[in-house]
Amino acid sequence: MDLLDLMKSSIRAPGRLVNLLTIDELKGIDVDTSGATIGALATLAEIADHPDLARMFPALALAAGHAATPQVRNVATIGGNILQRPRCWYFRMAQYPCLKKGGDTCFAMDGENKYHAIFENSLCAMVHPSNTAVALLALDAVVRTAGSGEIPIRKFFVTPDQDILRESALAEGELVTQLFIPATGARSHYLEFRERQSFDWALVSAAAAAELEGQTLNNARVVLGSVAPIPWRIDLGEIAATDEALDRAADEAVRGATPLAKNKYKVQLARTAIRRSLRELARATE
Amino acid sequence: MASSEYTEVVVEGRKVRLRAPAAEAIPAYGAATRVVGTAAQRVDALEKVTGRAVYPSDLRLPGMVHARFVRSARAHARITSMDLSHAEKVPGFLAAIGPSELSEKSLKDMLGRELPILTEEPKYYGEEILAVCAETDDAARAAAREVRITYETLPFSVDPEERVRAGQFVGGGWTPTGPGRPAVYERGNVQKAMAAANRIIERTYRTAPNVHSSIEPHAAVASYEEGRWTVWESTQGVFAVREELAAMLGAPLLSVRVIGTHMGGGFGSKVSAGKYTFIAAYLAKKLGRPVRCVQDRSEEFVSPYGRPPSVVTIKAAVRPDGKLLAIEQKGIHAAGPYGFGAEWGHAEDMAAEMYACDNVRTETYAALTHTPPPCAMRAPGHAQAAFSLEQMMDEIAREIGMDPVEFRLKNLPARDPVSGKPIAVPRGSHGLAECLKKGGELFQWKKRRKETRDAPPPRFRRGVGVAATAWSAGGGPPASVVIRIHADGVAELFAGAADIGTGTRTALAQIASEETGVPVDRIRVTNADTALTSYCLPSYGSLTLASTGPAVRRAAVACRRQLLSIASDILEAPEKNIVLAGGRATRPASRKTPESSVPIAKLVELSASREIVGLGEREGNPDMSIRSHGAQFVAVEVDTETGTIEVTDLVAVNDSGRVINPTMFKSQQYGGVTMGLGMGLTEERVYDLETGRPLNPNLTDYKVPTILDQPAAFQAVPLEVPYDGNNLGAKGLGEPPIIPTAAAVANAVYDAIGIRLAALPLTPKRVIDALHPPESKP
Repeated sequence: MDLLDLMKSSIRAPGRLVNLLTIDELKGIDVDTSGATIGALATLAEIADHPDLARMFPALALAAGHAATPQVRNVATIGGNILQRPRCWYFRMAQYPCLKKGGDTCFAMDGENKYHAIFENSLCAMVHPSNTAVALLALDAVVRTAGSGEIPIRKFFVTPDQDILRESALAEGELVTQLFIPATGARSHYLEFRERQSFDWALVSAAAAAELEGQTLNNARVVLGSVAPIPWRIDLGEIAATDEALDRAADEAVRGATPLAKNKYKVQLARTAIRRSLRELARATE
Repeated sequence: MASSEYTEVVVEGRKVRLRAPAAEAIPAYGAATRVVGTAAQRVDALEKVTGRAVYPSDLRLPGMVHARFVRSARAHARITSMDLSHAEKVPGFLAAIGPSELSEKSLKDMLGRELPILTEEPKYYGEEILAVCAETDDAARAAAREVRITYETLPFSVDPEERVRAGQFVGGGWTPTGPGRPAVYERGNVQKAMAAANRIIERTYRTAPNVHSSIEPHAAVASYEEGRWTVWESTQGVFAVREELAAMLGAPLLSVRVIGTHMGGGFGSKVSAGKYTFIAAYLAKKLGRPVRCVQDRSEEFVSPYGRPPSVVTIKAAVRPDGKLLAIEQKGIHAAGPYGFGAEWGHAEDMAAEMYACDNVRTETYAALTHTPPPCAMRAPGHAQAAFSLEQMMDEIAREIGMDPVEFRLKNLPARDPVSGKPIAVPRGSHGLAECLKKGGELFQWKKRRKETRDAPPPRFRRGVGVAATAWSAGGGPPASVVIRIHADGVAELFAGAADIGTGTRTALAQIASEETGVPVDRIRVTNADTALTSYCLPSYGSLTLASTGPAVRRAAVACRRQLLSIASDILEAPEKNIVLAGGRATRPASRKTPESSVPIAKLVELSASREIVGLGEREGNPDMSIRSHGAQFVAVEVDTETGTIEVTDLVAVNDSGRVINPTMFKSQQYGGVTMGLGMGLTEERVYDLETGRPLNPNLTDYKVPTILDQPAAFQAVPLEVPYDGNNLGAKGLGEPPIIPTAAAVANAVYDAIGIRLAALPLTPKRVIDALHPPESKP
């Protein structure tokens, strides 16, 4: 979690902090034929620069490498990254008693919402800020915890409807220890669009994964980031790896978007992100 | 070139003509210079990279305590109660000052308008209500948080157009009008000219509120001993701070010493004493301990304000042959609730001054918004004005099918259209014409313009654009400099000017070295200390080098004469045959005699005074319009599916006369253009209209460009158009590079996508909304 930022903004004021950085068991990256086991304290820089991850799970390595700045990636951990609280500016300012802070209003709904959600935004318009969560969801990762044991990543992120005060299924006191990504042979890719080239959050990001057979993408899925309160997964099943089919799928995927007054442009970005990330999977075959 | 003989001033209601001080002319530099014009390393580079350079916000004095402000959480309110009981219980709490204690105190802007230091009726979010002081900074913050304030909320608006519609405005600019009347400038007859013209274009352009984002926040440390204050301040002008602070304290000038040797950036936001300055000094006396008052990053976004947002509607008429016939402009900008600082927002001067046009009318509305008072920000007014004027020039050039470079060349003025004074162009060339021609060549403007026009529209569309600037940057008096050369050959240079990161200290050392022969690394520069250096203006308006530089040269020449006189006797050679360089006086070898030389240290030791002292004062300027010129050419690639604009190539050409240090000259171009790209593409202070609060008061959400946002190909080109209006031949450069950037990018984007983006910043959202208009609701 980005606890220090929250403390600086007077959103959290914990009486006591426990330092996890001394627990070696939470560190390290192991890759074998079954998949990758990534310690919750592995840094984004370690993940971005890991040759086996880059080969087997490029979406994750790319997502980690796009986050923040080199300085931040050297200290930021993947456990912290997937547990970041919303970047919504109304959430980040103590003066706004929004739903996520136990209040009764989403100020973004009729306020400044150019960076906010275009899906699942009827209650709270936050977007999930994690790059790596987008990739992990596309790669069907499993979250291992000291507590309930294993949580499939599809069940890890919760919507405001499910629990307005939290973004994950972690119980109070439960700790993420590892992330496991099964080796399936799927191709994957990650990309994002943003306003500046470093030190910025994505306007829209996308991780795509699929198995490729001839000119067909099997088990194709795209996860969009920064469009909904959770990483937004779209399952496409079997799809022809042609521009026309992928464009059609992209158009279909954004049809249900419910943009707010100032973020209609994100629908166009989402469409483009889906199309380009899938095309990248198909292109890799040539 | 002759200096202007008189300055007209008013003394007790009488007009008096003051004669300029008589000054002996100093010859221009010869064909070759040894030190001036070289890329000398910054004199304080080592200090800065090793962290030894102490900035005011770094300073820790024994016994020092910390002050913090309590700021308004409302955009407009009356305070109904203040409860300090919890704050007083914070361990380390020392004192709190409220508005009633300072009701007689205020800051004054350049036109005498006032701003309360603390207020019971805050008129913008973040306005200062109380100051608290504690043993540690943490305790001061905690105490500030513990102050309980209740408000009666009052109506407000942060939207300048809404305020103008409601009649809540004053006239902007340097000759302000009273409430409800815009400032008007007019020459010729715009109405008549428009009526006769058949090519007229009108458009409204909007710029966003920007923030200086200096690395060092606003900061002052004050100590008070034996009736005197010493203030270390992060400032662009120690003498301005001294004058203003002494007036606020009701103390004699000499009871306040202000030191500002190192400072971490100002960009116009540190040209006068701040509320933090006064609070530090006031508490230092009250508590008898040194007081530090430094702002957080989030406070930098509310106090002081940066570049206010502007809405400029411009209408221009042109003859089919390219002659500009008329410009009519209505400009609105936010001016805060007090009108204080409204002079920094106006976007009018450029429309009136830049081009030869017989019929011009501008109206300026300084809207009384519930936002912080504006303050100067790098090229105040001009950066906003260029976005509208330089896009309009592009539009009307296209309207008549003329190359926008040709169009500008055709409309260059030989005289300043406002003052009527000749533009300093001593050798028959126009600085702006030279910049446009040189930049066009380097950029291959004609060829690339044709390429982008011929290219079919792919997903990535390419375009090129140009924009130009002129900025008054001649510098001038006052500036007095002392150089002392000691018996070990080390020289001390005393100058009042602040080095705001531009390399002033280094450039001045180079100028001194050129004349005296003392190497740059043997020159100690003492600057920006009111007790040790002589009066000068703040480092603003791109005036520092062109003001203080000529005074340094004059002081150095005075030293040189003394050194040469002694050297002539020792080396038994006429003065004109002696070279001062490398720390020695040398008589070169001739056919009859071998080379001989003597160290400068020896000359000083043998001098009657045992120390060589030179005094130099800045001479007056010629009676002309002295301008620094610049042109920028950019190429963009617009991703039509994501709205992303990539600036792929940029050529910046600037003429500001003689270049003292090419590395630092280019650094100004890189820095200014980067700031211009931020203004153009990413930077916007976002206000919540419901509450009047800035929503992004931090450097993650207020997006200053990073190094990865720089153009892949970026040429910064100094162009030395000869200028002889001062003894250096140099003009200022600090501000010109930011001025045309946003307009040049917008012009290139138009070239690429055929849509005029008239509101800053040019974000992916704006591009997509323009290219793929959201379906209108039934």
